[in-house]
Parts: sequence; C-alpha cells; structure tokens
Amino acid sequence: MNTHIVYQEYLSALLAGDRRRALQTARGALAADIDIRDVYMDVFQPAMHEIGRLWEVNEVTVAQEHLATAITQSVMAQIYSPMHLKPPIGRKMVSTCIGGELHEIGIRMITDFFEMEGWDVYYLGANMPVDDVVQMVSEQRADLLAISATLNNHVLRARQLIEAVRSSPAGRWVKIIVGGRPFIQAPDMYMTIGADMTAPNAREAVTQTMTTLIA
Amino acid sequence: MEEYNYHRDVLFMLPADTRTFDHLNDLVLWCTCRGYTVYANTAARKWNERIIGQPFEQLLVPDAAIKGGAFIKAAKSACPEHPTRPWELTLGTSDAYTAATFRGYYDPDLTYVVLIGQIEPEYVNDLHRELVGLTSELAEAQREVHRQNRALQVALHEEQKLLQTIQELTAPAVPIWDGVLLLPMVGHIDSHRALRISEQLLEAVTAHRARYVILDVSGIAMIDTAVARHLLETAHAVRLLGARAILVGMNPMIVQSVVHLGIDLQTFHVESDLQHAVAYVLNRVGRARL
Repeated sequence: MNTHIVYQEYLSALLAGDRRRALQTARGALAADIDIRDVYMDVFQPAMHEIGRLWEVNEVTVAQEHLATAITQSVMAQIYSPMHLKPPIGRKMVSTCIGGELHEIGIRMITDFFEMEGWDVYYLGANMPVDDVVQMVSEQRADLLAISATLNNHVLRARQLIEAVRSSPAGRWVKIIVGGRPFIQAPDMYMTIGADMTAPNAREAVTQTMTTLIA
Repeated sequence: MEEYNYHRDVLFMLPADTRTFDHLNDLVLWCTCRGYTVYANTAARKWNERIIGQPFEQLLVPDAAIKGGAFIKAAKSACPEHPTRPWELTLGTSDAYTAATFRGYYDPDLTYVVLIGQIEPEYVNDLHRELVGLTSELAEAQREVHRQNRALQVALHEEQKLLQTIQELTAPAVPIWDGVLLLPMVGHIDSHRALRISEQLLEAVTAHRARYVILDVSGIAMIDTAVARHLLETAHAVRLLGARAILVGMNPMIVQSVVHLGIDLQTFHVESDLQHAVAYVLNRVGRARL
C-alpha cells in the first residue's frame, strides 16, 4: 500500500463525510507499516488542501469543509499514541495558532511531530490571549515557541504576539518558529515580524529547529 | 466633497423598479458584464455599504474573491431560464464569515448580470464553528490522555528500574572474617524480598563455607509474621548447613511485635548490637583456631 492510494481513499471518505471510513483508512495505513508522519504529511495535509481547492471550484460547501476539518482532527487524535513517541529529550515547546479552530490542523501536526521526537509540548489551542502565551513560555522555560497563521490578516497578530513574548524576561531568548500560508507565500517575512525561522511543513520545522538549537 | 447618496446616485438611474427587493432577506445585485455592481438591495448592502460602483468581489471575504470572479463569469453565460447552479461564497471577514449560496444569470432586458444570494441562517454557521471547536477540545483531551499514559509509563519504568536496583543492592551477605558472613538488612522487608534474601544467604553460606552468619536487622522498621517466619526458616536452614545465625539490632518496635506475635527466636543467638555480635563471633572463631 502506498500513501497515494491511502490519500485517495481518505479524501473520498472526507468528501462523503464518513468519519468511520476515514479513521479505518488511517488505521489501515499504520497497520501497513506506513510511518505516522507520512500519514500526516502525505494523506491528511494534501487531503485538507484538496478540500480547500474543491471549495474554490464550487465542488464542496463550507459545511463539508468544516466537517472534513472536524473528522481529520478526530482521526489525528485517535491514531496518535505513545507508541509513536521517542523517549523525552528534555526540550520544551509551546505552540499556538492565530485564528479559530478551523485553522488548527497545521499547528497540531507540528506539535505532534515535535512530541514524537521526544519534546514536551504545550499546545495552547487556537486564539489564545497574548498574556497566556507569554506566561506559558516563561513558566515552562520553553526552548521553542511555534506560531501558525493561516490568513494574511493573521500575520499582524503573530507579530504582536512575538513582540509581547520578546519583551518578557523569559521570552527574550526563546526560539520562535512561524508557519502557515502567508509565510510560504512570502518566505522572508518571518524575519520582519521577529521570528527566528519558518518552515513549509512539519518535518522541515523539526529539522530546522534541531539545527538552530544545536548551532 | 458631496456625500454619496444612494437614492439619488443609483436608484433613479436604474432601468427597473427595485424597491420591492429591499424587503427581501435574499441578496440581490446587478452587475455590468465586467463585474461592477450597479445595484445592490438592502440585504446586500448590509455586507458592504459602498458596494455600488465596486467589483462584486468586494462584497466577499478576500479569500473568496477568486471564486467570486469565477461565479460572475459563469453567471454571464447563463440565461434567466437556466441560471447557474448554486455557488457558495463567503461574506463578512476571514475569521468570522457567513456562507451564502448565489445563483446568477444575464438578463438581456436589463442588460445586467443578476445575482441572487441566499444567506445561511446565522445559527447554522455558529453551530459549525461550535462543532469544530468541540472536536478540537475532544482531540486535545484525547492527546492529554495519551500524554499522561506516556508519563505514567515512563514513571513506571523508572520505578521498576529502581526496585530492581534496590533488590540487587540489598541482601548481599558480606564476608567479614574467615567463615563469618554479615547480612545487613535495610528498608521494608516483604515476603518476596525475605525469600530472595534467604536464597542468596544460603548460597553465600555454602560459597564462603561460613560458620557464623550475623543478621543485622537494625535497618528494618517493621516486621510481620510472614517475614519473621522466613527469618526463622532461614536461620534453621543456615543451621543445617553447619553455620550459626546471630541476630543483631532488634529495635523496640520489632521486639514488641516479635513478642506480640509469639515468635520463638530459639534458633538465633541474639546480640544487642553489631559490635557485640562481632566480638562474640571473633571470640569463638579465635577459640576454635587455638
């Protein structure tokens, strides 16, 4: 079984709004020894992008899109298990996403990827107040803060968040990674809003962070 | 600058009476073939006051602009008898949008493209959002369970390692003199540990050909019947191997429980502390040598 077949099967389950079939498909892929990271990156991510594209061409409705988001959220949580986690490496990450729960899947993938690598992760959910993020970063003495933004108007809010974190004593040295569509479209923008790095996907985010932290 | 006046600037220039449209919940717009809005009813203007004269896409969420353009294109080539199929477009802001279903066609009498949009009731959108939010919370809760499981597993593993270390640490009998073994017992003794201690002690007695075994119990807080019985059995077995067991370091608590439990310590030679025990043993060993 290759990931493309899984992807097609998963997408058709999403379009049908069939959460059981979606879950079975994902579980089947894991049972067939496909790495969970590949399921995330080659099945869930392109499937959600495809749903977005289908809305653009008027093939699916917002309601279907929302349902697909909810199904994927749920499937991700159900197939995720301690089995996939490496032993703790003593690094801590705080993650949050700008915008509502509809835009959460990306940052969740990133967070899960880090946790699989043995990080202690603190996912703060969507639209967390700035003060709470700052507090969490300092309380946990986080090594990394990950922020995702989906829409262009989220970038400004990401910048305000970064400024607030940077002006707190504990947040001055935390590494900050940003990601999401606006940062893919403008690859240098992360610097202008005060982040340390950006990555186009979860796997890259882990690699980049590891390189930066070791350097 | 003169204020923009909807009635003066727009209504009186329109080729048909549009007043009834203002009482509809549905959005009604007329556009030129290039997509510029020439008329919008009250329901439509609610989403953008200044839509007249602007491209239709200005009514939509920025993310839906491209789709809106495609819809206008489809509407241009549809006729009143066969309007476009429903197109779902979003109004409002990117973060809080409302879905509307549009149909459109070109009206040759008006010479405008007519667009009619049906807004989804607000609660439908709110419900969607709530459902996605709920799923998100549930997903997070599930992950939290995973995390706690993992933390427990790690803790359990640590504890097992610790237990193993303890078990290995305790119970080694140390030869302190030719034919004399010292067995310091520390911590909580359960019957499992007592059994292990017995086994190892008997092996050590044979290996070192010991004649005396000093059992130092000063590091033990509590003793129960089962453990006491084990100790007695061990002492008995030590005897059969040709050695003698000396019990040392009984604290008041243990003494009390020994008395209370009615345990007979006849098999043991009892000394108050290690110093006396060593003196006793060395004395005997020395005498035997002489």
